[in-house]
Amino acid sequence: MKKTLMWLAILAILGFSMMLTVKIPALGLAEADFCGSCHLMDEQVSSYLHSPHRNVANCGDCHDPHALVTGSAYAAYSGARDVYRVVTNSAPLEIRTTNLSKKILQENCMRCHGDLMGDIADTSHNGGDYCFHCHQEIVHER
Amino acid sequence: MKPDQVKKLLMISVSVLLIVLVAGIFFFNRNNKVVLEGPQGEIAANETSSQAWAKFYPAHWDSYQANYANTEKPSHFAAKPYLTAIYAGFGFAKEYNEPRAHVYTIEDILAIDPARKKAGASCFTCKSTQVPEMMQKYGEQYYLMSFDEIKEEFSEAIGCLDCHDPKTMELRLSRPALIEALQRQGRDVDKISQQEMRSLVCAQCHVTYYFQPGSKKITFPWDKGVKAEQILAYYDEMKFSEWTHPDAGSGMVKPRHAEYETFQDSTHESAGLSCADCHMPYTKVGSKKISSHVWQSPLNNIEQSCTTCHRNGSDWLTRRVETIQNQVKQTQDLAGEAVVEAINELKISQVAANVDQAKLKEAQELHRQAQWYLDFVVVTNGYGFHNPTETLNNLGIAIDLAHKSAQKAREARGLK
Repeated sequence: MKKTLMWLAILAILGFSMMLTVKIPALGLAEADFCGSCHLMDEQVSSYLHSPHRNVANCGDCHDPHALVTGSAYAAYSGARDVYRVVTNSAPLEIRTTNLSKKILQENCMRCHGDLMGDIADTSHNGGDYCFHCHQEIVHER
Repeated sequence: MKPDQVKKLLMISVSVLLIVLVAGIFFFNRNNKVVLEGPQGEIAANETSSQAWAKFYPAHWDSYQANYANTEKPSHFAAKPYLTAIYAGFGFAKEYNEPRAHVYTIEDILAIDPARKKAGASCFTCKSTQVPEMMQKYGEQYYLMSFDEIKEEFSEAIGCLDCHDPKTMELRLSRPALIEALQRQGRDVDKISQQEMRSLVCAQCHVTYYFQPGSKKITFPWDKGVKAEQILAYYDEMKFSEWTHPDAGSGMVKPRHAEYETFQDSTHESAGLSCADCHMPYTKVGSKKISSHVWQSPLNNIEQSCTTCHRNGSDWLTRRVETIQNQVKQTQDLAGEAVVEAINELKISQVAANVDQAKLKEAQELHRQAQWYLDFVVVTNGYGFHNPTETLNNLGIAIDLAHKSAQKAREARGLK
């Protein structure tokens, strides 16, 4: 009994630390090169590579939460979901941001551009529009 | 746990993990491809039977077969009752239905009202893959043959060969009227971009045309340009009319499904789009990607057609299109009533005593023009969506000319 618990604990710790590794920059799991290995992302990746953001931000900088634990958990979840959809050939024709993803994106816009928005504050408060409602195709198309 | 139990568990879990991993990689690689359906064998150079192409392009064939679901052909007269008055004296007044899908062309033309068969063999020109073959067989005589003389020779509806080269599957033009019209514009038909071909294959048929007096050869009236006013100027210059309106006495010209002409210079065309971009969007069949061969309103598959570019939701997009189409329909009805009023005034003036012939002639000329602009919109599918501003402009011109015609007709018989 004690041994089983120990094994479970070891597995849990192992799993948790493996999850955290997705945030290691050297692995490149948040880079366009990696995300673009699914052909579904071709349009997004090729237009991103022509945008000014390519010099300052990778996919994960906008699409994953910045914090280590929430960020890696979300990246692991959304990455696994996307791979599952390619493997089972069930990706939607029209790829749209989920509500959670919209909140994450907005937070990341504000993380870099918050100073600029100092006087205006976060436009999405009280049911307002997200930054990308207007600035839709600044980073990539679609 | 005993050591050999651990060993057993490890062996099972490792092998399960390995199988899942291998299967995952296999399916990932298989599905992570953009496979286009390419030629899988050779099709005869002039294979008119679309069925013979099916085994080489099964996904495209299935898509083409889906056209059979488009079975409605309501009469235009139900929504536009004024049409029987404006088409009086012409075959269209007897029967004018909305078309069913391409796959029904032969069936539907054989069932048409006899009043519509006067044009003869030419009627089949946009109904069958066998047309180029018949044109080769009969030469210029093809256009002069009667409807009943040639009808037995056609069995294949519009299909693969009309737009594709069987060897390379590249788009190609198979109808001489379009090729000749483009050549008269000074175009080299062998040097046309793929994107323009994605509209021009449609323009082989979805355009207005006339039968050349004498030879009855189908000709596109595009030498002055493809817009309503330019085509009317072309007809005016050659003093051409197709029939005389029995009530009004005016010499009439008849536009036909001018979708291609209307689309030119529209917002979407100026942005570089072709017909196929909205009407034949990419669609996924299994892990294959094909251009949809179900020809229909893009509103039926907004997720594939509109939202490729417009990220607004489908409901919002549908409302935008419906607003435009309802407004066009409303203005079109006003123009229809105005033209009918002109016809009614002309009808009275024609038989009135002491009528001013010069003014009557002027009123008839205005009626010819007004009806041309109205009809150019009526016959074009899409209720103006192919080019909303131009469509409303044409209808505005039609209303103005029709009012002027009615006024002149009244003046001709001494009224103010």
